[in-house]
Amino acid sequence: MPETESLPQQVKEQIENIGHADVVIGLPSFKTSEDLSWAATGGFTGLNVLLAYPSSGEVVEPDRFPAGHLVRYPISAPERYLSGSTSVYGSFHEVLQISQKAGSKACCVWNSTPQGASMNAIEQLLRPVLDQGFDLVFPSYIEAKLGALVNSGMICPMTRAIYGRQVHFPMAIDLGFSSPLVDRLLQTDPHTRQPRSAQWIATEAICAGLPVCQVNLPMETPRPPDSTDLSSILTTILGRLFADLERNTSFWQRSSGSQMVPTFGTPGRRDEDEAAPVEVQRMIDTFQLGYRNLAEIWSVALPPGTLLALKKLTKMTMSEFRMADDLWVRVVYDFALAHRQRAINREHLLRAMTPLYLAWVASYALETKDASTTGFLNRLEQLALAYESQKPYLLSRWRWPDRFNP
Amino acid sequence: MWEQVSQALDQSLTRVMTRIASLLPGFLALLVALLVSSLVAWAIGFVLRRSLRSLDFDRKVADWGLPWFRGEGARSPTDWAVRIVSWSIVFVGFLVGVTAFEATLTSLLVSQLFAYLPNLVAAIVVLLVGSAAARFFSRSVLIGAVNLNVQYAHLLSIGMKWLILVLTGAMALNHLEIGGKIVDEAFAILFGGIVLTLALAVGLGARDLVSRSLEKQAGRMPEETAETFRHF
Repeated sequence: MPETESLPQQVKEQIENIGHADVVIGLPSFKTSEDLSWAATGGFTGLNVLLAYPSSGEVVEPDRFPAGHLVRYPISAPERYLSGSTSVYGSFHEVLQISQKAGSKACCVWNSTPQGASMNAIEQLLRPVLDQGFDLVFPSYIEAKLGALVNSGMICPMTRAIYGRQVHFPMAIDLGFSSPLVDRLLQTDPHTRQPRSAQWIATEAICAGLPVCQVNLPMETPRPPDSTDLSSILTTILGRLFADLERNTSFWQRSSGSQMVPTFGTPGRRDEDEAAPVEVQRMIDTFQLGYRNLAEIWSVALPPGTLLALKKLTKMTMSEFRMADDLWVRVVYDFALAHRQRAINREHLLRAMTPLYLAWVASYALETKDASTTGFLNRLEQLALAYESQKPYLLSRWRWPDRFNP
Repeated sequence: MWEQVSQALDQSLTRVMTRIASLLPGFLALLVALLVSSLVAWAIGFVLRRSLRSLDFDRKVADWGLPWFRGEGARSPTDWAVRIVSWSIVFVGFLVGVTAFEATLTSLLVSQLFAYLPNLVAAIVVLLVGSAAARFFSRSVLIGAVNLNVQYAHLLSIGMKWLILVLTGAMALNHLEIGGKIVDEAFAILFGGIVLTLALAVGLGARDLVSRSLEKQAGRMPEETAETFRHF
């Protein structure tokens, strides 16, 4: 498979001058030298470390990173991870090329804001690669009851049900890579004609049968910029999730159940404020407005039985507002099927899912408002099992989309 | 005297009969042309109908956003396409038949018809593209407005749809050279009316939304649920 190389000559020369590096750390979101206050101390004793940062930020003086070498590289526009903007979804391609060029054994790309990083966290992400031969290491952040809801409600449980691996944050953008995986990700996918690094890396590794693991990091999920619009991000994330179903059909149709992936480190806990009030009226309003106005679009994706159940949901008062797990899971699966069939414009379809997602958030928030950390984690486990139990429904409709479905 | 009258009548009858006799081949040619073109139209229509059905043409047209082509039986897009093609072939056969009568007159008619054809085709293309665009943009507005919890989302969507449809209609009539200045003026009045209606509706209905948004941007008011819920 051809490799995709976009590193300028100047960067290659910088790497050649440095020579070999054991570990490469990439910080695509880097902006100012202050972001690197943590880099001055500790980490990777006895290993040659190279820190790569984009030329869109300040120039870093070598004394800011005495433990290793610095490489400044330009970010090229077209190959953003998950087709998003750099600030939200990150970019792996350039750092992976630097890692390959430097012949490193392990590479960590920290796409979240560098202020949130620490040498300890990066070392934790790379130790399973260096010491135990894992190819891909996911971070497992501290789970909050009302945090990372898109991940909790769709990405994590659906990835678990479809691909059979229990990864807590499959779309995390801070990852640790082995050198064989770096080589693989720099190749062009013959089906999509894109570098594999611009595709969803989790499914790349899982479908290739590479050993993956996760590391508990003592930090909450990184925050996206304030300006991000829920609908747009949902469209990008769900678009990738659903497109990968098509790409990996032969893999997921054969897998059943799910397996734990090896997890390192102690899970962090966040003290949930059990009495905290939740304001969900606006979400329920949006859902009800959606039912009144978007029923025509929803009916393209959803069977009559599901539409009827949603109609009943619109009539519920706030205190009794609950969306059953099976209903929510079928909604997600039905939208995935409609996305595959291109029943309507895909962006319209995915954007029209926002009110349904808000209805699930409202229902989940009301149900777990008094729950402790263990309580809401159990609730999410229940949801994940519902995704697994409904997988035959997805499989059946995927294989026979024209079969009558009440 | 009677001889002269009889002779005149004979001559007139002969002329009429000659004229009729000279027209007969033309009539026959017209009939044959119509018959042949009908047979060709039927055969092509049959093949076209089967091909379009195998290509799932009706569903694709519905997806492209041409609402008035939706429907069963005689009003399906496949039927429309078959009818248009079939009647076009019959019409061409008719023109061939008519040319057998009087070459000068019909060739003038045919040349004028063909000169007008590009306008007709352009108007049809404008109508098709315009209706697809109207459907696409009205749906975009509807979904965007619902996601922003705008209560009059449907009104905005209909406004957008009619803005594009009115614009499309005016452009199509312009291409067909029908109506002249009246179309331009009617379009200006209708378009302006729709914009004014929407501006009033949004202006009066969305005061709270706009002020909330401005306050949020100015940092005077925190986002209601930002601290409670995190979607990502």
